[in-house]
Amino acid sequence: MAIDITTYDPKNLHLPEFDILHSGHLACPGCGAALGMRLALKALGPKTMVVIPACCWAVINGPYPYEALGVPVLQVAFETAAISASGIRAALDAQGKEGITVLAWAGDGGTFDIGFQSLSGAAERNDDIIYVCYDNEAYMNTGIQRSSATPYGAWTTTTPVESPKPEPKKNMVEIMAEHRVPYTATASLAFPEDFVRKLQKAQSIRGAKFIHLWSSCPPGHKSEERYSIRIARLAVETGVFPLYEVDYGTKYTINHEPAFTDINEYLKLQGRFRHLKPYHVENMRRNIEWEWKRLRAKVEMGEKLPLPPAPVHAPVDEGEHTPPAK
Amino acid sequence: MRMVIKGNGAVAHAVRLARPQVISAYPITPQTSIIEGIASMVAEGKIDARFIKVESEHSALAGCIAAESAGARTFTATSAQGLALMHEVIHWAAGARLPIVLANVNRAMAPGWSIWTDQTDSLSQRDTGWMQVYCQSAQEVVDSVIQAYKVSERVLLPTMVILDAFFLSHTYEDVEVPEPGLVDGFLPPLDLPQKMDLEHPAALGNLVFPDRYMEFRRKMDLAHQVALGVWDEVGREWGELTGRPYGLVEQYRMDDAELVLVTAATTASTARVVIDALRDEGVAAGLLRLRVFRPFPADLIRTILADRKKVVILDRNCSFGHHGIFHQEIKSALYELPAGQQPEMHGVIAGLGGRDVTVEDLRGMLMGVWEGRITKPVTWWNVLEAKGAETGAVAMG
Amino acid sequence: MVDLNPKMLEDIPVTSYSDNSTLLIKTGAWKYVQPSYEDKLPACSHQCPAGNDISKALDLIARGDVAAAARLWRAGNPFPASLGRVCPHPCEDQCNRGQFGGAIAIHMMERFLGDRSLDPEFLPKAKPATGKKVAVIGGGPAGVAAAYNLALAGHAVEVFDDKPAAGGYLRTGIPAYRLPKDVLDRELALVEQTGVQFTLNTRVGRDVSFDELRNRFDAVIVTIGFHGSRPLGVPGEDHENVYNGVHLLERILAGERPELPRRMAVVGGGNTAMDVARSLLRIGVEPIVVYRRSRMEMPAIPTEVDEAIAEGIRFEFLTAPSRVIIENGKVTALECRKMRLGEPDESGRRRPIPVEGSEFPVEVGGVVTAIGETAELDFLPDEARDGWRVAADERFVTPVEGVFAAGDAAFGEGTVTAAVGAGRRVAMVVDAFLGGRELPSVAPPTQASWERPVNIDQTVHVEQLNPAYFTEVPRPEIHELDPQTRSTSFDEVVQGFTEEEAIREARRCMVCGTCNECCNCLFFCPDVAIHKRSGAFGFDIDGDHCKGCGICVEECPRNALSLVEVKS
Repeated sequence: MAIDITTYDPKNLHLPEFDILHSGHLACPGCGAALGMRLALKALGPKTMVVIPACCWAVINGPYPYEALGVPVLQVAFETAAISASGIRAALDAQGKEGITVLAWAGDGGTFDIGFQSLSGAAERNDDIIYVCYDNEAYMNTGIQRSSATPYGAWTTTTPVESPKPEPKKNMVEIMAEHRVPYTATASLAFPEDFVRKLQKAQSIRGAKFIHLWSSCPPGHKSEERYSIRIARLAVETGVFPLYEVDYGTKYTINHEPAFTDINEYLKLQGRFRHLKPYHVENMRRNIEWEWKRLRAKVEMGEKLPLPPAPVHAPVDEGEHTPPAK
Repeated sequence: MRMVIKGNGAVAHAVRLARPQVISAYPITPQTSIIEGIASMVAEGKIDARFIKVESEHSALAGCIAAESAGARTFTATSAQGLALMHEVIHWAAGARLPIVLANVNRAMAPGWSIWTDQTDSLSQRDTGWMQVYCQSAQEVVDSVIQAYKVSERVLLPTMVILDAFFLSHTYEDVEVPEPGLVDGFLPPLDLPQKMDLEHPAALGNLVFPDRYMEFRRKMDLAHQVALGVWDEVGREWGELTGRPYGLVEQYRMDDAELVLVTAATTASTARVVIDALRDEGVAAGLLRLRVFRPFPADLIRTILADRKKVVILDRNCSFGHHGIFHQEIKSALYELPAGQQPEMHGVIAGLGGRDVTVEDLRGMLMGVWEGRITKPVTWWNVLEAKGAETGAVAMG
Repeated sequence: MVDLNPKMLEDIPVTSYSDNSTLLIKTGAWKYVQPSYEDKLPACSHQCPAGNDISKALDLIARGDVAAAARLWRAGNPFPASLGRVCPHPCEDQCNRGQFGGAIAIHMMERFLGDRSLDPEFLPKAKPATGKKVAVIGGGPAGVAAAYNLALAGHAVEVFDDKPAAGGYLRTGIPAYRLPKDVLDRELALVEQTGVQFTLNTRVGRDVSFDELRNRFDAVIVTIGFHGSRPLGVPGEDHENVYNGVHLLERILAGERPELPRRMAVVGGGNTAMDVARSLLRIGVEPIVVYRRSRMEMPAIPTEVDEAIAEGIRFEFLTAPSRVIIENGKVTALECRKMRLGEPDESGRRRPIPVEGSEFPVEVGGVVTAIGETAELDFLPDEARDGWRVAADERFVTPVEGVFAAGDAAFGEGTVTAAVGAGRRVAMVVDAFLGGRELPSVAPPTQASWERPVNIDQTVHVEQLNPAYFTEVPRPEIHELDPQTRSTSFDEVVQGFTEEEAIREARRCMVCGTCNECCNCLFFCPDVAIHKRSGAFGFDIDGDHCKGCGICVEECPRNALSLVEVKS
């Protein structure tokens, strides 16, 4: 009997039933990035080509001659996720192959840091790709070094407890939104329907789309494997990681109003924050407040602004190009 | 069709004829007129390709790698700093066995800033697994770019077609540009055995454990060996089609030559004048021009140089601390000759950073060796003397 | 496919082209703990004296399979329609939904399922006959529940009752406005359909001897309940207008309308007191409830008290009778004393202490006592008696071989629900006895009789749930006849749920501790190692690829999985 479980009060997940990702991949137990990929492939379907730069997923996908994704995958150099996706899109266009989604799937290092230039290039060209950064907030694949996605106060092997990271995390979504790409969004593993919806929305839009997925990492966050979703949820509910989306860099929409749970609930589950002093936590609280004020102001501003104007095309009868003056 | 075009223009026209599907490039002097030409041709519909105007050379080649992996023929061009920035993905393209063709305009590496010719940029990419072809004329540029696609796609290795900055890139020459139909008959569409394909999902470029890595590298090396024969064959085939045959090397007045100049690229044109003059003067001089440098035709060069009296190897490059690069390679190729057949070898480093290598320079170094005035294994040609070499003052001061 | 065991260089591709599935890599070998589907006891069922499988049944309703739910509920409980009306539903006090919008109206669900299953097609299939015979003395809820379960287990059961109809307190003690008698009759008829033979109007010790039963039957179960009365212990209580509440109620419910004074005091605070007071109201008597503690300490079902107050019944709290005032041979008042509450007694309730000199009359023409009941045990041999109760241990075993005892007569639990539960439990013990199996040291809980495996040692309270998956949904209003109408009639006060209401309410159920195939475990598995069984309930865990992270266990909203150590 087909059961419509969506009407239960326990908010049962409504997700595509099929799976493209295979078992046997090499992710650590409790890996958020592995679950993220699983959900992404559920959302985007089999007509997807995936680019994976150096990142945990370059290992997770399995060693030669094995692979876990079940769709064509190109593993590429660290800083080339975005351009590689652009290159595939260009090749598909050139060969007249339509209806294929090109997904770049990169970690925070490959996105916030080393791959930032190429990502900015693809965004500026508005290449028709979906770029997902699964952000585990440090260079986890190389053994937990700080990246510009590492949050304030966090321990990493290059920000030891005597000198934890003094700077807050780079705000990647706002940076990408300011490229005026048609769609940017944040997402959380604890809100899989929201993530799937965002991917499918991104899939329906031509142009460069950027999704920032907060991703748990038990070895890197020094957390229990079983708490991967709980921590992801707390990241949202404490206000640390707001769930929102931005259309054309203009219209900001908050997708989930957090409970603003005490940030200690989030911090205490992760060993990377165990050394924090009360003043660190106070700084975090203040930063959350400030970021939320900014975010709400952007929502307000977006409500007053129109989306970008529709383009005016050249009249059909004026086909001749005027060469530029020598 | 005969055209008077620059070397860079020759690249653009050859690219047009090769029908790449994706071009991904970034400007750098003195390569820019290549991609300007291509941009115009794409805009005018003369090349049916997607041109990704990327934000760096690294992305230029990375874009080609991805596009080629997805089954498209690709092209990019660069020079010097740009090539160096690409270095990581230069390795990648070869390791991925993608038949990408790249035009590199030889330019000196900074600092100090220099935009003039020098082979150190391309020779720094010697060990990446790419094939390298050094051209001496705009005609050879046209012909080599087209041949490069054919050879690359046969052996699944990328090729760098190399031309000197300004001496070739910006010098107008009379060039026979083949008709598209001729090239279409010569160069079939790209058909990669392994690529991104929804029908056959697979991962390309994933983790390889030590139990297999060497096998892939062994296959790359074998492909280079096979490529020697393919370049030869393709060069002959091109000759049959166009009347312009090409070999791995070019020999000029070598039959009975006792004094041989070995060099590459545009210096070879100048050298012909010197060789002719020396012959007129009764010196049995000859020229061996290196064309296909990777794969390196060591056996062929050994055969050619066996039993010659004296060999001068001119490098427009330097592997600092140890000779010019052509010099090293030829020396090692000739090591297997029996002592009696070994020629006397002298390396000359000249023309770095675009310094002119004139007829007088070439005559000077050849006759210096011939007449025994040059005895050192390596000579830096026409540079200020180093008086404090023994004390270290020259190096530190 | 790329060759997994290449012999020659030609057997491998030019580059690391990989098209073999990682399914071939057994990453499951990494784990040291593994998830396991393990249903646990929901707080409601933990609290249910009758042992109903509440969460499973509600889940079936939520899925729209009302028939399966009804069948499940009636599987061990012969009186769901009756209990759905009279049970004090302690389950609802513990219901975890209580913290998310209000407890599930479980009693309404039971009533809905009970009414829905008043048809032989909902009866479980009996096991093959064993040839063993069981006598049950007392046709009340405990006896009938025992008989029903033993009959379904294949035994021949005969129930002896001295009344003209079975049902015990359900028939004699509960007014029709709470339990219409045709509901009880239909449930008893279903019990008869299972093969249980009712021998009525037959009092053991009068019409048939106890020894004869012991001789004729392989086992005898004593479930006679409480039917005597406890005296008030005050002067004047032997007056004819001072009534035993249980007996008076029995007469009223049997349809008698005895001549009664216009105003009567009802002494007591339990369910009998409420039933008496509300029944008196319905036959035109004005009752005044006299209770020695405060409202908080009343043992009656709170909603019954609410309803009585809503019907306008007067209560005298902290008041205890001291004497029945009789003038000219007629009761004119009940003299009472005010009480105050002292320290808690052994029942945990605060002990009432008389306030000196606070005597005052409550002017009434009669008094009804409803302060506790006693059993009538004359027929039993001495060793089977222990004061006012039947001597039985925690296995329901009496000192007399082959004789068992359960229900109020043995343990005095005091509700029909507990009696049904006791009947189910004693049936398990007697079944084991008849089967020659060793008896447990303590009779197993009712939940042990469920068909699905449940870890009954673990109860799922709200702390054991994942609150992220539940939102507040308010409890629905329960429809009642308005107080004006109902105070003059024995029509049923509480209106049952429609199917739509029942399904809506079932969907509020958090299905604690019980897998309902919500698929959270499956969807959150990073290793795609959980698979829905095709064509069957539940999931399979792919042990070759489950890495034992435990996300499934944490993200199960209802704690239906556990992490267990991997045995090496």
